[in-house]
Amino acid sequence: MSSRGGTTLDAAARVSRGQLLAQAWALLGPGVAPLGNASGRPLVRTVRLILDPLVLRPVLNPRFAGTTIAAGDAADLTARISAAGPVLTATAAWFLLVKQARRRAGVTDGNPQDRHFQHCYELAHQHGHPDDVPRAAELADAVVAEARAATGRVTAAAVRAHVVDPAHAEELARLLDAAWSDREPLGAAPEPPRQLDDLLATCATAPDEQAWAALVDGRHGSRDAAHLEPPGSAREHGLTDRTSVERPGLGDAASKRRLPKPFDRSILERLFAGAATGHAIEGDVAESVRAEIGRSARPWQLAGEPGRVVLALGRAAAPALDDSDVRRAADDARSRLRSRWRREAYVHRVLRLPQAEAAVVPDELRAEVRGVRAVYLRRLWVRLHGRELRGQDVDSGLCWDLLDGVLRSVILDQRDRLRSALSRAATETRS
Amino acid sequence: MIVTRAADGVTVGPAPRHPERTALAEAAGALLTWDVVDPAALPSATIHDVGRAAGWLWELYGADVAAAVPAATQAGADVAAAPADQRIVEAVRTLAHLAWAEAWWPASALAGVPALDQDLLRAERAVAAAAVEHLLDDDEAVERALAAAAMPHQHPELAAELAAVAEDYGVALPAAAGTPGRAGLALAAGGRGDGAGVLVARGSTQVSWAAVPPGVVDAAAEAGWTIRRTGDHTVVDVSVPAAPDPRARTATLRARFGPVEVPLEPVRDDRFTGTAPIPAAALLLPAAEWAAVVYAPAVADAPDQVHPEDAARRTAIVAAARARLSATHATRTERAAGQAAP
Repeated sequence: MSSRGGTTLDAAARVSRGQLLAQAWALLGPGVAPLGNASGRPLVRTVRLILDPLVLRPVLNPRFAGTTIAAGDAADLTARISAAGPVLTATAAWFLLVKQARRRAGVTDGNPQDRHFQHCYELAHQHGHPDDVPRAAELADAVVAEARAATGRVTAAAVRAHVVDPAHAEELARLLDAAWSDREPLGAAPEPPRQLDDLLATCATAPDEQAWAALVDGRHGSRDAAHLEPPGSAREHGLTDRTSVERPGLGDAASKRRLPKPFDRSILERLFAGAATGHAIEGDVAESVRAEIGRSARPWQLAGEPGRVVLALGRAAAPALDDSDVRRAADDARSRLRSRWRREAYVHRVLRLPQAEAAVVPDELRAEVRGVRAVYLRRLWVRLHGRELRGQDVDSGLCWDLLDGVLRSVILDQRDRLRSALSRAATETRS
Repeated sequence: MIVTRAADGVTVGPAPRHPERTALAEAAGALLTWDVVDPAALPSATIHDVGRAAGWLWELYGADVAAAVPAATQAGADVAAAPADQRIVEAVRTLAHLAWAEAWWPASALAGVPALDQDLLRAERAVAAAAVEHLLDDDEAVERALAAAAMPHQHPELAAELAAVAEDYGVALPAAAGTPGRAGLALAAGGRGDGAGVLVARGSTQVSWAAVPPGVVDAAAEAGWTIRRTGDHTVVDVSVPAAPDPRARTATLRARFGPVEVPLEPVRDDRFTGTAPIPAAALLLPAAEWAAVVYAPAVADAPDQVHPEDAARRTAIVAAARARLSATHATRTERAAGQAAP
C-alpha cells in the first residue's frame, strides 16, 4: 500500500507531515494558541490558510506536500515553522484583536478563521506584534469593517440588481445569444483514453503528472462533454431535469431552497449559488455576469479545462460507487470511493439512521440515495463551478481531494437530511 | 494492540460486532470505535487510508503503533500502545460516546436509566468536535455540530465552552428551548389485559431497538399482549411502556400480531396501547408466532422478532448505560442525567 508521495518500501524513511507540524507547532509556545484547537494542534484552517500557502508553500516546495514527507526534509520543515514563530505569534495576537473587534461591531456570522486569518497574517507581516503597534485596535476594527463592506465583492443582491437593470437587459441578452450561437461543436463522444485510467489509479496517492498533462493539453475534459449531448444523457448525469440541455435565461430571482439542477439555473441563479456558500467572490459584478454567460455556453458549462478534466474523471469514477464486480487496486480512486460509499451503510446502522426504504424518508431523498452517481456528479460540478467563481485553480494534486471530498459531502448531507426527516416525522404526527 | 492487514485496510484492535454497542468517531482515514459494554482505554481503528491516518495515529496510539500500521501483515503483530496525548484520547472518546448515546441511549423507567438532555448532548458534541477537529474526516465537522446545537443555559460550564467555539466559527446559536417537563421515572401502572371479555391468551414480546426511533420505547420493557373474546369477536390488546423521554410523546407506533396490524395510541399513563380485532384463524398460528412485534412505520416496515441472544446483549447495554450515569470517564451529558435523576 502506498501513501501519497511514497510507498511502503521507503516507509521507514518517511514521516507523517501531520505529526511534524504538530510537534513543530507545540514548540512555538502558548502565543499561537488562538490559531490552535483545544488539543493544542494547529486548526485545520491554520494549516490550510496560513501554514500551507504562506509558510510551507508546497506548490513551490513539493517536498513539503503530501501526507508523509521524506525524513531528510523533516528538519527543514520544522525549521521553517520555527522561523515563522514570531510572525505566527503576532498573527495569533492580531486574530484575538480582530475577534474583539467583531464583538464590538456585533458581528456573529461568517467564519472568522476563513475571513480574517490571512488578513491577520498580513498585519503581522506589515506591523509585527500588535502589542508594539499604537492603535492596533483601530486596525483590527478596520479589518472587520472591510470584511463587512461589500465593495469589490460579488454579492447575490448586486448580481440581481445588475441582471434585472433595464439598462443592461439588451446587452446581456445579446451576449447570451452570441455565446450560445457560437458554441463550438463537440465532435464524437470519445472512448476513455488510457491516461484517464492511469490518473484514477494514482490520484489518491501519487498523481500521474504526465497523464494529467496529457488529459488537460489534449482537451479531454471538453471532448468528454460530448457524452452529455444525446437526448436524456445530461439528465441521467444529474445536471438537468430536461431531456436536452437548453440555453439558460438571465433570471430575475433566486432562492437557496429552490435551486434547479445546474444546467437549468439562470445566470443569476448560478452566481447566486456561488455567492450563497459564504465564501466571498472577489471581482466586478458586470464582469462576473459576462463571464458566467460565456461559461454557460462552454463544454460542461465551465470555463477551465482542468475543471472539465476533473468532471470527466468523476464521470468515469461514479459508476464504481455501486458496482461490486470490478476488482481494482485498493488505492485506485474508484476502489476508495466505493469503499467510502459502502462504509456508509455500516455507519448508518451504527448511528441508527433509517434505511432508504423507510416511510420517513422523503421520496426525493430516497431517489438520491439510490441514484448516487447523478448526485455525485452534480455536486462535483457545483464544487468546480464555485472554484472558478473564486478564481481557485485546479491541479493534479487536487483531483483526489475533490473526488473524495465531494462524495463525503454528498454522504454527510444525506445523513443530515435523514436525521431531520426522522425528527420532523416525530413532531408532525402529533401537531 | 493487534495490528493486522485486512482486505480493505489495516485494523488496530478488534471492532465491536454490534451496532447498538458501538461508539463511533470518524477520523481522517479511519473509523475509531469503542465497545460501550466493554470499554477499553483506547479505541479500535479500522484504517482505510494509511497516509491520512498517519497524521494522528502517533498521538492516539504512540509511535510504535503508528510505525506498525504501514508495515502491517495479515498475520498481525501485537504492538504496545502509548498515547502521546491523553486529552486527545478523551475528546475523541467523548465524541464517539455521544454519537452512540444519541442513537442508542437506552432510556428506561423499568431499569432506572433516565433520558439524556438532547441539548446538552449536542452542545458537548460541538465542543468535543472542536477539540479534535484536526483529526476528523469531515473538515466541516465543527460547523455541522454547531448547526444542530443551541446554548444549554442549564449547564453554565458547557454553555461557556460552546459559546467560545461558536464565536471561533462565526455561528450565532439560539438558546436551547429546554427540556419541556421531563417524563418521570415512575414505573407505569399495569394496563394490559384489563379489558372486558374472556381471556384467551396473554404473553409478552421484546421490542427491537432498530425498529423504533431513539427515545420512544422503554429500552428494558417488553410489549405485553392479551387475546380476549368479547361477544362474538376476538380482539388483541397490545401495550408497551414509553421511554422516559420527551421524544416518546410525539411518536407513532404499531404492533404486528400475526396477520393483524395494531395501531398503538399516543402515550397514556406512560404507555402506548392499542386494540384490534383478530380473525379466528390467527389463533391457529404456531406458538412461536404469537408475538406482538412493535415497530415505528416511519423507520421500519418489516420488523423482525428479537433473538434471545439480542436480549442478553441489550441487558448488558442497559447495565453499562446505568453505570455510565455516575462514571468519571463518562460524558458530561450522561453524568448530568445521573445527577438529575431521583
